[in-house]
Amino acid sequence: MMEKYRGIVPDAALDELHALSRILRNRSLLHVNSTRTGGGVAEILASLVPWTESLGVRTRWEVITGSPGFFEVTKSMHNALQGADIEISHSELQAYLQNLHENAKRMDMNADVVVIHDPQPAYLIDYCPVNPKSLVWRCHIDLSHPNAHVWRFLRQAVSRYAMVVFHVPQFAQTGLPVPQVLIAPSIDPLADKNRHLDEDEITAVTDRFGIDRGRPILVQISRFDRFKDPLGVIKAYKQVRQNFDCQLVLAGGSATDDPEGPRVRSEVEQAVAGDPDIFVLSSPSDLEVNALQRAATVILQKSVREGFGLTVTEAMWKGKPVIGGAVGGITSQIVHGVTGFLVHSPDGAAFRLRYLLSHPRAAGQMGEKGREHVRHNYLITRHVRDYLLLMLNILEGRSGRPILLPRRNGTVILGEKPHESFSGT
Amino acid sequence: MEVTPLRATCLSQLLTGVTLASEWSLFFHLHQRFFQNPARLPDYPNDFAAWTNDILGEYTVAERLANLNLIRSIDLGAVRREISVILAERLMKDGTERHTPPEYGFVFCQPRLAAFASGRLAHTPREFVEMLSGIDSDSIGYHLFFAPRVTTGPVINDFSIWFRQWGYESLARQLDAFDPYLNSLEDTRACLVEFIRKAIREEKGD
Repeated sequence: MMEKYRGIVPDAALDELHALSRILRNRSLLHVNSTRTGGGVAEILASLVPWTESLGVRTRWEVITGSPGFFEVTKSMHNALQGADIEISHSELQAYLQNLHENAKRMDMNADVVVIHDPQPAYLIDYCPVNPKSLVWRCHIDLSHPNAHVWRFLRQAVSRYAMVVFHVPQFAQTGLPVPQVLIAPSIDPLADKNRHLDEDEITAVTDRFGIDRGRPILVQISRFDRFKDPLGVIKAYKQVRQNFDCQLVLAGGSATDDPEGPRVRSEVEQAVAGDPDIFVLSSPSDLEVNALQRAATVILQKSVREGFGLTVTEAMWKGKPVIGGAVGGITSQIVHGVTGFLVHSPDGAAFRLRYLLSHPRAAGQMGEKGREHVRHNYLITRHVRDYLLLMLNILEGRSGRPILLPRRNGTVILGEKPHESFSGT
Repeated sequence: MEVTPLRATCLSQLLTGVTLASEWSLFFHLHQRFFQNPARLPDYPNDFAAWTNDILGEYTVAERLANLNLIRSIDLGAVRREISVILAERLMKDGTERHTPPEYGFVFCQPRLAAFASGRLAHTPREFVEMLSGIDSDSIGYHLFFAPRVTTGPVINDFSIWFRQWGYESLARQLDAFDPYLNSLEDTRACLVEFIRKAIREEKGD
């Protein structure tokens, strides 16, 4: 596994993984989330699990199941935790807990470290026969403005985990009685969604959708979700269209834990109103997403709430300037004015789009800087390292003291380096 | 990285946070921007300066915080006092202050450090400079930013100590005088490699 990544990721990242694998070999790690396909969490786990497995850590990935009603409740929880004003009734919460109880009965939760991802399975802590000191809650959503009622409910479970992990400091919660640490997500540069594509492969995809590579292409890749503001993107495009003969691609997949997608998509189609230069694409394959991003002139992620925004990372890795909503994890990725622009409104997006379409050279330079930014901060190897350091912390019960990895050759004159155990450098 | 309970949404809260934060938290916020993009020197070299500029629009305070002379202030306690004085002076001069919504607030974090040994061992100055040319930029940051603050005594950086042991006194002084806070890590690498190569050439009388 490591050799495939040599030359793509920094060499030091591979050396660090080698050092950690010698310590954690034969330890076990279990991830639990709510979907195997669709969305950033599933995508990350699809890369992360084989990676830690290849380093000798016995790794499993369990997915909770549930009825459509269960996922309606968890989607409401998800939206409420990201700030939506939604009421969830007592009976809905009871049904949610009952469903998790059923899941716990069929799952093998035994592992040295168990990472529970996101709110959907958070209450498994009540039903699994695992030492809570080995349990980590990994939050992937924007918790900066949680609905107080729903957060109060979830907090009772989260407070009993050994550690809680967020993407960015702004999501951390005051008063939680457990350590809160930060780990940024990552992309896999060799996955179909991110690997190098030849021009012919890119054109084959754009031709298939009828997209003209001779004219500027604006792209937003996102699930059809109100928090991704696809209607705001269309509004910005319509303003830009007055000056530039450009096209807009809105492409989004679906996830089994998101029943709201079809409703939002229908709203998007209404807003498109027959414009032949807007392409609304459903569930493109990873390779198609890759090609669309590489064909893009500018990539948008105009979210109004965002856990992290892996599409921003993907776009920057492909050397594209990115316009992103100034929310959540997007603010930690886009260096405003250097790798792209942070915006607060459709007008802001339109203004930056007009600038980038007028200044292709500046846009190209932004793209190059973005790619280097991703190489140093958001590739899978850094993420694997952070998870292994997390395991080490949990297993050894460390509390802030530096972790010193064994030295190979006695006194080290060159080469010691610090890393925060739980975040990119 | 671990999130601490300390937060600030205005200058006076930032002052409180700086007063209460651990030294490692201060160290983290003073250095992390160098590691995020090793090829680019950030506009503002530390989080305190960047936040007061970008979020609070306190441009004068931001410039003073950017101008902290960290290469001459190995003692983080002294740096804490220096930051506190800058913030306190601004608050005493004009009691009004801007508040930002919590989502744009300053969250004090602290690193959970892990030191990885690269296994690269330089036996001679020539080996040293070859390794320095190729080693990960984070390692350079470690030796210049981190190591001086965990060793005792009047240490400036690991590199100058080592070259002094080899008798390269003039080079060691040059390395001591070099300010890594004014360069990206990659620029720092290029400068150090140039200094050391020149010293080796002169030693050999080339």
